[in-house]
Amino acid sequence: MNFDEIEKQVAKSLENVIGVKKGNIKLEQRLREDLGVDSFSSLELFFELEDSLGIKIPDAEAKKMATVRDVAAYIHNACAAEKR
Amino acid sequence: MKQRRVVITGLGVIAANGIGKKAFWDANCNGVSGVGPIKAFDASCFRSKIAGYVNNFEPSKYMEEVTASKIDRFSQFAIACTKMALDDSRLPSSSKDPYRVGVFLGSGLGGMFFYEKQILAMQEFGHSKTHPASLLRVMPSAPSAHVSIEFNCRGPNLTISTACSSSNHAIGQALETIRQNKADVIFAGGTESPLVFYTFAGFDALRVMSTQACRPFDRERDGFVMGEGAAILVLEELGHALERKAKIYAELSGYGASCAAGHMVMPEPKGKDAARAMALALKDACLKPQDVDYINAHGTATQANDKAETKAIKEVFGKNAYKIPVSSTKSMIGHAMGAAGAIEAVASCLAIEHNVIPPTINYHTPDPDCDLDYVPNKGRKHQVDVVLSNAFAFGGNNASVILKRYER
Repeated sequence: MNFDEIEKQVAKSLENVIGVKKGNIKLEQRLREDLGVDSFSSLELFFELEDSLGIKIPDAEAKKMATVRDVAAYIHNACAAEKR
Repeated sequence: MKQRRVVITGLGVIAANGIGKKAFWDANCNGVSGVGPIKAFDASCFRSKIAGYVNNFEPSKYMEEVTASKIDRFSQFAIACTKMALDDSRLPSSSKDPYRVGVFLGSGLGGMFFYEKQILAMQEFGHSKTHPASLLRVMPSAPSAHVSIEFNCRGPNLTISTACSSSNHAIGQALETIRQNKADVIFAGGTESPLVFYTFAGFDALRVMSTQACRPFDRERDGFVMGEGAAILVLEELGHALERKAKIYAELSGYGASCAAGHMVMPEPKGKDAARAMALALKDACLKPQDVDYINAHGTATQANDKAETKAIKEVFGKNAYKIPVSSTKSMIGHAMGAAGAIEAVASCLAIEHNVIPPTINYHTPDPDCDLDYVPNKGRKHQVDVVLSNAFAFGGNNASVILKRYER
């Protein structure tokens, strides 16, 4: 999966979890401050991502992610590491 | 001090034979059944292969899609019915103090759709497939919580789970709460969406479901038909309703509750405890048995219920029992369990509004043990000022409510 595809999946999961209109998610947006992802909706978000992408995102890693880009970048790196 | 009176000023209903009060009432008056073959899962292994499904329910008509996607079907039903009831009541959001608005709902089983899905996913894939909101979707109090969030109801919020009498208790307890001046408006009712394989298997194992049709009080009746649905009634303190010139469907004037304390499944055969609930409701409403114009029966169409309920009615009404029309609207929509009482309360309000008694359909063969006037197969024009509505449940649990044409 390339970065664009991952970004699309992250945006889709965010749309499902917090109900943001399609196409309104930007990479620079901060999960908590800009998108209102609280501790509960972040659990839902990471569950959705793990479920749809078949990956594991450890809690400690998830906690470090502040922006949409952080999430997409982590998944991109994790997928790349898996390939290697 | 004079007791605060409670009136019904809005109705929302979802049942197998109609969504919304108009479609539901037209179907009820015309004896239209919503029962059909089970399509959602393979029921070939079960004795019963029919159910009262709600078809064509579109959650997005009543709530945001993102909300609908995150809650079980029984919560979707509750939000949709509250929206309908609120619109029907024309209660302006500015006129209501959110701290004086409550939500009282009944649900017998909880979020069975998501529950079953989750258990199966866990069994197949392990614990990591457990959704973080799993328990929040399944818990029986999820609908009352969601309704409070959607409609900003910050007063008392309660869920009652007494199987098939749940929503009659919810309505009754809401009546008490408004009388006690702990709220002015309560969205009261019930919701249930039990039509999944597990629930079917459970009732199939109990051998209480019909193989043919729901035929209450008929000699050939062979069990209930499972249904689903919901109903919400806007209960409002009389002064609050009069002040805003609300349309009043009926006064909720009595509530009676009892328990047989005998058997988990079988009703007390002489109907003594069911009779007690009816008599208590009448007493609470300051009415006499001869004041009742129509009884909306629990009428599940099990051999035991219909016989015991008939005896109970005779116990309360004596010889007069033969003069009072008694019908079971479950004959048309199946048994929506924890939502049944609320759906039947809506039917009762509409019976008062239109002076029409909905029929007991599928009635062909009289039973010597059930010899009252069950309004067979055809709705009937009849002056209806006072309705007694029954809901009985597993555990010998009984709840009756009285709805009465509003008079000053």
